[in-house]
Amino acid sequence: VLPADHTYEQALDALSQPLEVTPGGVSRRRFLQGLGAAGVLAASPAFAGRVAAAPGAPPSGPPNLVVFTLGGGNDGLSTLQPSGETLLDWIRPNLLLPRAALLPLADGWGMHPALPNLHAAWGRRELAVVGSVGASGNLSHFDSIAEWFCAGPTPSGGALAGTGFLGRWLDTHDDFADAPLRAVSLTTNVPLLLIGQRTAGCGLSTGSGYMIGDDRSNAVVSDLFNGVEVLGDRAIGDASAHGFVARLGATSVRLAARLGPAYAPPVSTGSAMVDQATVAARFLNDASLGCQVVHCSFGSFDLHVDLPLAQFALLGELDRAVGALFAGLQPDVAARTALLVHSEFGRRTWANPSAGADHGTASYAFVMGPGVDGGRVYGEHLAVDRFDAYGSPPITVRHLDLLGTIMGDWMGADPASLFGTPTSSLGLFRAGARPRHAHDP
Amino acid sequence: MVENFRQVPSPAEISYLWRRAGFGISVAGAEARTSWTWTQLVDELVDAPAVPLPRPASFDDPRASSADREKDLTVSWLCHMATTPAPGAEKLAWFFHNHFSCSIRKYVHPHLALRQLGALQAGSQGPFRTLLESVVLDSAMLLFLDNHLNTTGRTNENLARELLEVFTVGTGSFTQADVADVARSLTGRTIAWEDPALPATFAPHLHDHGTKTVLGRTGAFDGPGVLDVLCGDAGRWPLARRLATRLWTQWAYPRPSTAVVDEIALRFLGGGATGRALMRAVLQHPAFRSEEARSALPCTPVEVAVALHRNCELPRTNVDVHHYPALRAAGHLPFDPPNVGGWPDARGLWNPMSWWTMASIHTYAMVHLRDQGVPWYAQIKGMEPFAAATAMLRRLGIAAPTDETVFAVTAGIVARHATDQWGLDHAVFLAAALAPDTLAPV
Repeated sequence: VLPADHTYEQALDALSQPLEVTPGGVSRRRFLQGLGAAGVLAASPAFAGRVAAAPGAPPSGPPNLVVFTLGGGNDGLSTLQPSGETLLDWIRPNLLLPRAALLPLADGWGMHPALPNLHAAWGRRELAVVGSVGASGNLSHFDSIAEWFCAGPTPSGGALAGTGFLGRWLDTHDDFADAPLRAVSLTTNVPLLLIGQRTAGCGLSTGSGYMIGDDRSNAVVSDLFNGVEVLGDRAIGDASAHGFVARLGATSVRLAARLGPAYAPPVSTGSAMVDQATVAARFLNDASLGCQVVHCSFGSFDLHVDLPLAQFALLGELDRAVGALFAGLQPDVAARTALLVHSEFGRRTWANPSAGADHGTASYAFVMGPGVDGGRVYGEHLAVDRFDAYGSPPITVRHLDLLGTIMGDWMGADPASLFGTPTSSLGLFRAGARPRHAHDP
Repeated sequence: MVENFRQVPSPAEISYLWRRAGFGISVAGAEARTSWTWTQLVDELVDAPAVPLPRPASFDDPRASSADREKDLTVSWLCHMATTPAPGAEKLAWFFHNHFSCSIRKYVHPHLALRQLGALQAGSQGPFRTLLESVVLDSAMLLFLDNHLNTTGRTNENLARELLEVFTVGTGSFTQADVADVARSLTGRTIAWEDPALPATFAPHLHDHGTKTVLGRTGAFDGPGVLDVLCGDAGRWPLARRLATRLWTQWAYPRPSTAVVDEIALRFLGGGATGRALMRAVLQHPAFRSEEARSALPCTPVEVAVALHRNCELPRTNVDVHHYPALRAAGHLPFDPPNVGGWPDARGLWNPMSWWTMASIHTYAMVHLRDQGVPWYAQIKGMEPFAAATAMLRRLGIAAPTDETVFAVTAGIVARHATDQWGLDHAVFLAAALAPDTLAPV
């Protein structure tokens, strides 16, 4: 059974007590309590020093990519915030964090106090901040997330519409039928991100409670599972729904037999984010699964209401999840792993009257890992005094260039063919840090 | 001649109709209708008026928590789907539950979910304009999309955007300027702050009484007024095409041709823009009876769970203890859609996780049938292998099992016939439950 999404409930807890909302002072008492808790977190980063320093020679083995999608549109200007006085003090005063609470970045900006693990990685130069990044600036959740996942030559995807860039990356491997776990999503369903033209990633969960087919010690059920496999194999090439579920049955019982170890012991931290990150590390650690890409998705950052309080809880979970991921990875696997944290869009610079912010355009993305040339901002910080047509900070870095850098410089793919359009590298990774493995040209 | 021949529905075709436009039918029920015309079959499902869900007991129990009531409501509805005398109306309400996707994870109060479900059951078959108002301007949706905070001079566009993009005219039929003015029109529509469980209210002093322009129409619209514009001349054609596309995609096959969509949209509008007209237009379309439609979609996890419940006459306990968590893990729990766009289409709901969870609820059903000594199940176990396989598949509602499924189930029984009862139970039941025919009958 999937763990309850406590974060989301906490966020809604504020919504269910609307009388606490007063203009300009959202649940201030509880917010300050949250700041106190963050101080404790900051004093004890969960995994400081856990990630191995990158060796001189490039790590050997396939490169891995973990994608954290912050669903709903994460507010960039409260994730990172100027540490001096700016126009923001006038137009979003009730969304600003107390300056003293910010974790300093030494460039006139500070990081949200709920992010001590990310801040420590910044200090180790393993965290790259990509500023003012966005897709076409569409304000719809669905269109914008589709633009990020599809990442085609036009906002609607052109000839690549209906596929995701990691799905198309799966397509480039001729052995995809033998590697069903090369890309997995831990959100149960398979997102567009992992759907290709020839194949698709695998949708799994953070719990194994239901895996039918994992135990074949009993002869009776073992026969049945063999039968399910036979029916599935006979249905290869059958495009009907009947063939679809027959193949699904065979895939499911086979997967159950392989996945058991990755789910033991069971994960139940009370946070969907941390659970997904913990299982993601196990998938990457187990070389026999052949897993290179894990997609995790958390939400909802769609904070039209009471943004500071809910953002605090959500970013805190994100930070613990990042900690759990890198603490869970074996050092040699961590050296081959990069993490992308992104959201479909940012939020408007102006606070709305509900102490939230409506859908915006540009936001921040993070790229983290031992191979990352971090401790610096790529592109520009979000503008605090310039706005696009919707009152958002303008987009100055194309999401295609960010994704192209990761897929080209880290995963070793050809960005131009993957995205149907040339991309320019942001240079996020250190020279020689990219893992070398047998599939390289 | 071919058409005449096709007019005679087989039990398998009747089962198909009831799976898509209802929650499935027993094989005996399908066989009893083989002398009916297609029109009679469609009319039965379309015309029977919806039967409302009885108020779940926990809603009158002061000791029940919010979580208790939420689960009670969900389980009660899943049971109601299996037993209602008007499955067509219930399936249409389920379609609109997905269309007006609204998650209780955000609006929290089970009373609001209960009232929204009541509005869906009462209004799905009638005029869409009425249904739209009773769902969109009610507390659950107002809270879900933040309209309780949308006030004059301080607009919150969340509801306005989704109203245009998801609930009515759809992408490409409106601009950001329309969103802004729809949001202004919806200002002042709010919840009863003293008790969010009460019906939504209108606060005139929070409403923007100025002039708005929406889809090219200008006026001092309020909430109902702007819904009139969306359902009136300005929006009715894209709205009708959007509804036609969505129902066709979920009940027939994905990516219908423009011609099919236009034809259904015209019949929907010509039939008074009611849910009944929409449903009848889809079911009466010749392409609905095509091989393409028959073979396109597997059952969804909810459909599988409801069919299992009805076919095996399971007690509510099974739904409560097993189906509810299984549907949660499969990502298909009522009142908890993943986002405002609703659930993925039927194939998108299936993955190893949902397959495992649905296989597991079949296992629990078998345990119940075995341990309670249910007579028909005991009888099947006493049959010869081939007869037992056929009877079990029939009991699971599979009107025309494939040869290889019958063979596989029979072989499973033969292989284990001489072993202990535990092995036999698994062979009889799981072999049938794990066969592709159960999730996607032909």
